[in-house]
Amino acid sequence: MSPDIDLRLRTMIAAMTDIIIPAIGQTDALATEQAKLLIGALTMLREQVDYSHAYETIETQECIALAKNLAVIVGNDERTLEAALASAQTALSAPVIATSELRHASRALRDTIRLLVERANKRAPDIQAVVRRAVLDHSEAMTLRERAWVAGTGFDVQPETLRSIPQSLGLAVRGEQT
Amino acid sequence: MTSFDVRQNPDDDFIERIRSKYPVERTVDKALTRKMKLRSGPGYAAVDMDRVHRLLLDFLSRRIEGSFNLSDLHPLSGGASKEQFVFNLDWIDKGIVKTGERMIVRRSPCEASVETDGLREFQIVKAMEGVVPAPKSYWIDESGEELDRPSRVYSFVSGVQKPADGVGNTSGIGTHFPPQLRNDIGNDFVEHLAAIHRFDPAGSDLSAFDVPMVGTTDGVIRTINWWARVWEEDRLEDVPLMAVAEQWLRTNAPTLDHVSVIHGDYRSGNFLFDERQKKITAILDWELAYLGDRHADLAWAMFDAFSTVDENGGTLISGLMPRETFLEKYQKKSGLPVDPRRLAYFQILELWKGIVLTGASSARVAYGLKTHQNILLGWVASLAYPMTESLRVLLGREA
Repeated sequence: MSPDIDLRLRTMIAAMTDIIIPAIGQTDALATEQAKLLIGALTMLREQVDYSHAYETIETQECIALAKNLAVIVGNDERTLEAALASAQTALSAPVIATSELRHASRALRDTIRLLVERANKRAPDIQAVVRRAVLDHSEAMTLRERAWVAGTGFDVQPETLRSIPQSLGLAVRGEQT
Repeated sequence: MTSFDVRQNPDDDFIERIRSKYPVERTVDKALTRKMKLRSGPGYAAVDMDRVHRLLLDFLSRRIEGSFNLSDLHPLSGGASKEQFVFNLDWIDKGIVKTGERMIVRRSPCEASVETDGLREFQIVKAMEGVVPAPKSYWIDESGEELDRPSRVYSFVSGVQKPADGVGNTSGIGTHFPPQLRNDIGNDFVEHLAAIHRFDPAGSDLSAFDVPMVGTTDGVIRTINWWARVWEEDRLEDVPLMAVAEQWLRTNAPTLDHVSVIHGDYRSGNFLFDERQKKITAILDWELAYLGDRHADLAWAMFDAFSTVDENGGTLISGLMPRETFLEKYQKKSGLPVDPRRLAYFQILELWKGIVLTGASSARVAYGLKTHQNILLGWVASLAYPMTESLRVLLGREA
């Protein structure tokens, strides 16, 4: 694929930085701020683009694991859960699949996870506590991934636990981009 | 149709199901229902300033007796949730001739990242006149029939949102104040918050607000319902931790010991100050205000996400002072106690609310391309992730 996505993103950033923002000048504060945000967003896209499919794959795998775990704890009488699990597993086992298909699958699973948590809320306190712990455990890796994904925004204030995107996905760090 | 599509194109059944599941204040219900009914409608379109000028002239002519002159109308940059226009007005205000009085119109976009009833903002800003530095409330188009969308007109207050040599992210988040400003601005920051919380709402027209009962959990449960409802209406995807946190909040809701006006978004970025005089000139962005527990504002102001680090590596809440100093000064100035248990509870509640506002509402509005700040809202939506990590850690300690 040439020109590849990275090349296109690099040229967009260069056009914004070298040509477009100087042309806006100081005359329009809103346009200048949005132009700078656009550079920030494009820069993050460069960091993310190689990992998008891996991200959604891992997300789907972990949602399957959590949903199965919660179903064991609170009992599974949700037909929607079976359907969501089957759909997610089909997506994961497909040799080639669009990234958006994985995202839809994990989102459907997240909806059914909510139903399981809400069902647990009607159960005894000890069941609720087990469910809470299961979700907290699941959330640790999830938030690590999510924070790495958007670290380029500069919002994260806990650098000691912040990882790079490939690190958060358990992947080897690729070579430096030019 | 997936749940995702339902939220972008909600039918009456979907809207009513959520309304009945989460009872909220009357005017909150009104604003959120309006939002959902407009959700599938058009997105942002470039503002026709000639039309705004014409509508504003008609609007003012219905409220000002005698002649007036409107000039220098133009959009104001900044502001993530409302469209803002400034103008100069020559007019006679209760017999006093005013020349070139600067005013600001705050108009709701097609859908806002903070969707609230304009009357609430208008009433609370009016109530705060003389209590803390705030704009003066002039006029309101509550329904949006006159200015195309719900709008309020206030006096324009001068000042800056961040120091000339300060750094920070968008919307004033993480604003760094240099040492020479911190003490004076910090004192104002605490003093005004104390004044807001000491203020007795009984003497003001706050008819748009429901008053929570002291000694009950009614108010905090209504607040949980408010943000649970918004999460249900706005989210692009669910987050398992949010359902767990909601349940924990309901189970552990504290009773109210004192009714305060709660600003709802009290932090750096939401006040203006005079850099030379080192004074706060206005507390802004009152749209999230409600009547409730003061610990909510304290917890919000102390968020990690709004903090900076000083020259010695210490954390400064809202870029201004250490946490202990903030709480100590607050108690001294307000005369109201800070209960560590309540504060710990509200740290979880406010983080959960912050995730709703950023991860759900900001993302949803950006997805629908509903405002002039779509790229900013898409950016701010990312703030939900570090907040989720903070929520996970705090809930883990409670569990």
